[in-house]
Amino acid sequence: MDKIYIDDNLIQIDLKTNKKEEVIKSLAQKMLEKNIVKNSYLDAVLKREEDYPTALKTNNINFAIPHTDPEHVKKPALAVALLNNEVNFTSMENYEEEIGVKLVFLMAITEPKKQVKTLKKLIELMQNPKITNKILAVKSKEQLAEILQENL
Amino acid sequence: MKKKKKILVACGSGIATSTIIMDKLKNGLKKRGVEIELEQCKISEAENYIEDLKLDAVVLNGTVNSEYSVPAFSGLSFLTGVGEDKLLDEIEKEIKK
Repeated sequence: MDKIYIDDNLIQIDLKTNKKEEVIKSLAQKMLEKNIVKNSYLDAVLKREEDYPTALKTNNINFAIPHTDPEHVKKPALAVALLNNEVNFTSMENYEEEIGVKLVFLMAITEPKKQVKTLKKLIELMQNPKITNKILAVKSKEQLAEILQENL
Repeated sequence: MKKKKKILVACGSGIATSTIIMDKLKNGLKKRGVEIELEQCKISEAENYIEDLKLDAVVLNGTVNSEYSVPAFSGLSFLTGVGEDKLLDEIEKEIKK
């Protein structure tokens, strides 16, 4: 399966927390409910985020892309959190640095070679202020799902 | 004809960011007329890969460990879009040595 699944059931826009673990947990729960990941997925993502953090800083926006090995995933999907306030995730580049992010993309990947196009597009979208401003201004998860479905 | 240079791309899980980096690296160098061979692995496996596969350089998505026996680069520019051309310049220069 090549297509990365996105729908409004995998999007959260009203999460109030200061903890990255809470953000990941909430999104992983949605994936579990939709039968996208296995029970082992959440712990695997949390562990990986500790060992190899995933926050990225671009000239445009800061975001995080937590993920883990395909063995914990049933089908490829993307769960997204747009946060009310910035939550600190550790920088991918410098493990000593915490980066405040408002956007988190929890990725469920099964076959990286087939899904690389979407991943690349996602990274490119984050470099495009027109798109990210639109995302930051959405009022509903349906709107956010639509933007991503149109552009990924 | 010269042998193609082999570059290893590594990230935490060896699946997501390294796949993006590989794609950008391959296409970026191709546009410059440079063909390369790529290998992909987890950062934790990088050292073994470098020895076993006789690689010419390594590109990591995270903090660069300078203890590798081959030149190492941070591939972060391919993810953030900041300084992509400069990174391609550096890698191209290194593999043309």
